[in-house]
Amino acid sequence: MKDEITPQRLEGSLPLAANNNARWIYLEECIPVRSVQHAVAWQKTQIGALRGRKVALCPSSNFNVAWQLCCLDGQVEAILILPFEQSASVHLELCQKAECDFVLGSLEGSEIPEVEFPTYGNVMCRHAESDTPPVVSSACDTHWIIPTSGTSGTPKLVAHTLDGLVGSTKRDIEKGREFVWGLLYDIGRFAGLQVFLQALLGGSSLVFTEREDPIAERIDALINGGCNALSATPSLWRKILMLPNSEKLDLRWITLGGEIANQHVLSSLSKRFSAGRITHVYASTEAGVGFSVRDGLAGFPVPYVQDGVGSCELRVDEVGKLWLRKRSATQHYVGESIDLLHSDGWVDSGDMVELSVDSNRYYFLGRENGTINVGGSKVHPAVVEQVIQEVLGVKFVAVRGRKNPIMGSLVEAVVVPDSEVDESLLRSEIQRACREKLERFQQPATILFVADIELSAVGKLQR
Amino acid sequence: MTIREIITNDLCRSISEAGGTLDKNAISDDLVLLESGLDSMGFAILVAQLEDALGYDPFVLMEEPVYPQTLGEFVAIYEKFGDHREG
Repeated sequence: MKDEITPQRLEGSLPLAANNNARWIYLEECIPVRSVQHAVAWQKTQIGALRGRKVALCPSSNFNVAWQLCCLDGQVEAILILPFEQSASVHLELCQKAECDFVLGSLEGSEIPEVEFPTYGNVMCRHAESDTPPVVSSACDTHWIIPTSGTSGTPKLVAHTLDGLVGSTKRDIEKGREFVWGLLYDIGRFAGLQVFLQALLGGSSLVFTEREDPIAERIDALINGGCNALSATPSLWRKILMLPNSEKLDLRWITLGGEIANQHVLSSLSKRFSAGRITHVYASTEAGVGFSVRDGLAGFPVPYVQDGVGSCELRVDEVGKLWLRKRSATQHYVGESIDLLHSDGWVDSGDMVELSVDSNRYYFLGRENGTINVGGSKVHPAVVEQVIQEVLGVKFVAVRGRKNPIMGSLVEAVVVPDSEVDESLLRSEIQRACREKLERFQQPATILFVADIELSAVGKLQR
Repeated sequence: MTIREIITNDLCRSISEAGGTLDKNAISDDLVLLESGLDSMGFAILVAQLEDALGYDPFVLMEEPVYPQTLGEFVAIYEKFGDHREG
């Protein structure tokens, strides 16, 4: 077997040691080959010291982290991916929580030993495969420790195994060759890892884009790279739809996740990308990939709860909260006193759903703790956003609470209008739509018009 | 516009948005707010809109909570904190 390994393959690619897979998967750059050789050399010389240890990855480019993951998986006990938007002190806290032995890169104020990793420019990765074993054979089942994207407090850490992360990854390599994925997420996040691993294990190519570049440039990079498969949050998709150059994207595989995919965004995507197959995925760092919905409609069919979907069981509790249970789930919190998996393996999603008897579907209302309390009545921002989003002339909307001395809180809508729309007319239209479709306490007390709404580090709407 | 004019304009608009009408002649200092066509929700919205128009919310600034009953009392509270006005 060893004789069959060509020197070129040894020098020109790195394995992602997908533990029990019959086929070894390699990450291979188009350009420049030199950096591949550096990475191979790095792995050969440095991995010995890191083997069986816990290693934190300092924030760097998506492309760099991809290489680091390929070098470390199957070698180290655990990889902690530090979130770029957090401060050095939070990074340190997370390293301590995960009991990291080494840091890849440089961490301010840390006494944890640092290891250098060669840095690369941003290029497109091509998939390669071989039946030959990797350069350095897999030594252990590495845990991938991913921080949650919670907006308040220090993120929790969730440890997954590679097998757990790729449980729902499509692995038809023949079919996968037809796809060029684009990476718009941060690779260190659960959703970004899903895109990376889908491209890698599915036999597709992957165009990397980096967070510091403006979204229009990132979309240009995807167009130039021939991207035809793309995953993003509904908020990011709305932004993409607003960019004139997005019309040049020829998408055949469209995935939405991380937020509620309402009918408006699903229909808009289906109209713009008529050749695209649209899937909205229910997944989270804690629960892993739950289930996918492919019928182009918002929410999910009631039989998903009655019969389960794929390897996932669903339960809606008495207050309308969604719970998930997956066979063979092994993910767990790191450094927390609470268990991620409740009794019998159920995971609390924290998301509220509502049954519609008419359509025989459940619809997402929003986060359990994301409601606005208006004089004792709870308002789910997403419900109000959906009504406003459908008003002609509204490009983008975020609904949030504003403090009020009489009611405790009131609903406030922040709206990005179409450029040529009369704001006072639009205000009346929004008010009219809200009066027709919402209870009084749900209607926005104030409507602000702004030029743009920034998304969070993980591409979600910030309320 | 004076604080009083802004308040009465916004009051009339809020009442009309809530589906009611207010006779201009009925606007006086003795007008009882909760009999003007505004319920507590409408009143809460009026306070939020006035905060946007004037740049301050006197109900947040005041140390002792005061619940105005009439339009005159309501205007007086806003005028008392008038030095916080913006624009």
